[in-house]
Amino acid sequence: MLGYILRRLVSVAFTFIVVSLIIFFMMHAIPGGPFDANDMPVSAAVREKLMANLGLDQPLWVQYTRYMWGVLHFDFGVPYQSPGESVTQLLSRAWLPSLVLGGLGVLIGAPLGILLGMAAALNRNTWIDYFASTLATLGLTIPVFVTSMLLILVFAVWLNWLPASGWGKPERWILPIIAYALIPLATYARYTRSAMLDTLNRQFVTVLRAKGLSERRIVFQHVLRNSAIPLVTVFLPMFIGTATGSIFVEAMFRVPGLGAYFVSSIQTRDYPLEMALMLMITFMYCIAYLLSDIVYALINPRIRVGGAE
Amino acid sequence: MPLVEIADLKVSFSQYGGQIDAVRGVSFSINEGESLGIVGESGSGKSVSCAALLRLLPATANISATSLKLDGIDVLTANKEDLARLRGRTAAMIFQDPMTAFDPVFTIGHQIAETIQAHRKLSKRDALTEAEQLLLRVEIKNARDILNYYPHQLSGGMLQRAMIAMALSCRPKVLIADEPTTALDVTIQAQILQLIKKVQAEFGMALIMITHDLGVIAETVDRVLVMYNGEVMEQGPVQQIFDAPQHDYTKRLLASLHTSFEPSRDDDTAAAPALELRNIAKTYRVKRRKGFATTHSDFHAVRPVDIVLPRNKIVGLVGESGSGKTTTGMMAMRLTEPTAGQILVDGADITKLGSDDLKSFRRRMQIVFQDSYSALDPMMTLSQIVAEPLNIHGIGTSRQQTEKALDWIERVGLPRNFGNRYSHELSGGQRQRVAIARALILGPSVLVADEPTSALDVTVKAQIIGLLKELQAEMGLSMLFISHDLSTVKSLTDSVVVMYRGRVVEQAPTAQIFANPQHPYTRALLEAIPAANPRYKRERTFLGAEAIAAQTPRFTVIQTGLAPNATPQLVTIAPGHRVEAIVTT
Repeated sequence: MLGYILRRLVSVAFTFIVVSLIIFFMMHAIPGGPFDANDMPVSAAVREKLMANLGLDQPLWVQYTRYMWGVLHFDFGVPYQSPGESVTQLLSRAWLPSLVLGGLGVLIGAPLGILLGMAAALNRNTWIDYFASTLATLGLTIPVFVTSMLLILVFAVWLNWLPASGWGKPERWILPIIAYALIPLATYARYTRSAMLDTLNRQFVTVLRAKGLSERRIVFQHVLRNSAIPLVTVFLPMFIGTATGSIFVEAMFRVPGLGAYFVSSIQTRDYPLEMALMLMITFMYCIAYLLSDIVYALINPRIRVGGAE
Repeated sequence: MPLVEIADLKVSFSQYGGQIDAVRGVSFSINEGESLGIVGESGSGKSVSCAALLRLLPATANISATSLKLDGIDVLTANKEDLARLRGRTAAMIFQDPMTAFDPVFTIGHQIAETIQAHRKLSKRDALTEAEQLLLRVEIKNARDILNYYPHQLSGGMLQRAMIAMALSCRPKVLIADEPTTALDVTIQAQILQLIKKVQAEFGMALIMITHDLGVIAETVDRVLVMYNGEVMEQGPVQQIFDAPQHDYTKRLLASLHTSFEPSRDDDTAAAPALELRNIAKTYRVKRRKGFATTHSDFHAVRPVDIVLPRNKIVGLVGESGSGKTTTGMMAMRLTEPTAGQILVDGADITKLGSDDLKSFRRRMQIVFQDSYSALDPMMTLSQIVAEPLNIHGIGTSRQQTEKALDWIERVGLPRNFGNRYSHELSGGQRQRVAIARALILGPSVLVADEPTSALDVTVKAQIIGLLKELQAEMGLSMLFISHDLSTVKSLTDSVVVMYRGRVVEQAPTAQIFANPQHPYTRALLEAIPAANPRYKRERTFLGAEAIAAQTPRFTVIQTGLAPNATPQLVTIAPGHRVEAIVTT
């Protein structure tokens, strides 16, 4: 088991390095640079000086190693958009709303989705199942900006219960979080339902019934544990993926989160900020996959205990 | 009062487009300690009847009966508590495939203990102690270790033993065994059947044995119920059913046990054999990881073996699962690349042929697989499937191809209009017929048949064997027939090759193998064949791997003319009869 975790760690670290390489070189492959004649009309001499100061005249691999060395010390450089602060400062400022929105959205949506999926699987072909399936399909098919609009229309414009947009006070959080929670809710409900149904149809469930076990014990001990095996590999990475926030929801409700910076850093060739954002997401995904691999092994004896005698 | 009382049981399943009547008015009863066999083919309603007895059927089933009683309790109106008592305590069940019958994420010990705890107030520790005792009673030696094993760490035979232990855990009054040995090797089957008989006697239980195999019935029960198409055809004492069957279906079933054997017609023996495997072997590299270190070891799936398939003959290749028989068949077809050795077809070496030469060569060699369901493309019609080999080799126009495919569908005993159907519309036997048509449409000279009948019902199995035999004689085929079951081979093959753990341990003409088996493993295989009549059932002794190794026959230098050698080697002891033996001075 320890060997397994170590191997996963090495492969995750390797993945992270490869992804960082790809991002770094792709960013440099984009034609143009921060001191193009149109963006920043400076004389050739000044330009050269600037490039040398910023280390941009060095070969790419030197730039890469320097950059990664900085990353290891949480130094992502200075964002071109707001040169008064470091990337780290900017991120920690913009990160909070995104984290609250994404985190609360997932923490509310995921458990509800799982419960809904379970209820649907256990009451197959009843109104509960139909309700859950309809909700899940709607949540998956209607784009989040449409549901956001509908929420604003109903609760802010018609009923006038809640503010339409903004952040700040907690009551402003409610609508974006609801809009956002619908995504994990729908996805998790669908996955849980099908995984549970798969397990319920397996032979050993009949055997458990034939042994005289109570239905509750069968569902909560055996079926749930078996269904969880395929689910953890899907859920944990999804959890992180959604916790990084949604550009659309943030835009619809004018939440001052990370979403806006994703777009602006690309438009303004803000290399440091863009690199930092990409690396951060990569890192979180790596951690999520690592965790899901470990949890997967923990609940699946085939991996934990290994092959036949 | 009988223990089980079923009167006029009817079960139907609601489906799209109507109802399917699975059981149509079945009645029977069982007294304490009695053993009843229910025999019938798949779809005859035998399993459904017993599942109805424990209310294990899905919600789509409609059950009605004038009486459905288990130990005096009406099953249909039983409440939760009654049901929990009926299941496990009054009646326990053993299922067909032990590999899927256990929850894969809990240990064997946990699963037995939870059964005990569901019915009696016991601490986990006491329940585990009792589980260990039960495992010992089903003849599992290292019971304490097995408690902590997960299902995937055990073999099918061991799991079925554990399943029996679990069924015994609450001292049920009736044990329902639903095809308990169908998924197991013959030798293991015989052991499990004997074990079931033993524990039935020890615990004084009644037994319901559901099976499609009359041999299993002959071995285990006193009374038989023959079912067909959801109805009881006849019932009576086992001896009477075997000696004086009343119903046509019963007679057909019995006939499938006694098939006659005709040797293939003789050809000139001077010609090169149709297929010859010389010292062919397959070794797999096995990776084993410990932390970061990876060690490699070799797994010998097939050790160097020689097999000769003479022209126009049928050779049986017999062995348990894992003996290397399928790998050998796949290597003969070059579907698996051998690690060493040569494959000769009609005297020509095909071991090194490139892909183009191999393709044209494949016209002469074809294969039929065990699982006909996954061997046929579900998206193609039967005529497309059968015509595909012609298409691949570019023989004839597409109209001619279809025409020929339809001819072949007819020739394997299916109506011509089946050409437009899809494989899921057919039964297992019909699908296997299609697979045979597809293999033979190119007119091959060699056919490898890899357990083509082991997934089929007995009567269907006899038909498919008959068909293969007939086509073999008509076409002058040479056939390598792979099977785990010596009794299947008996009625079909001219000679038999017995494989054990990747080696050939004995080969001889079929009659010789049955009359004069030399190797202990061959004897074990023969010993394991269920009796064809209850009159001949007997106590059996079973050999473990060590016992088989210890009983390797010994011959002297004078008998064999070979140099003495402590490692076993193949020794010729009669014309065509070779056996693995140790040669001593």
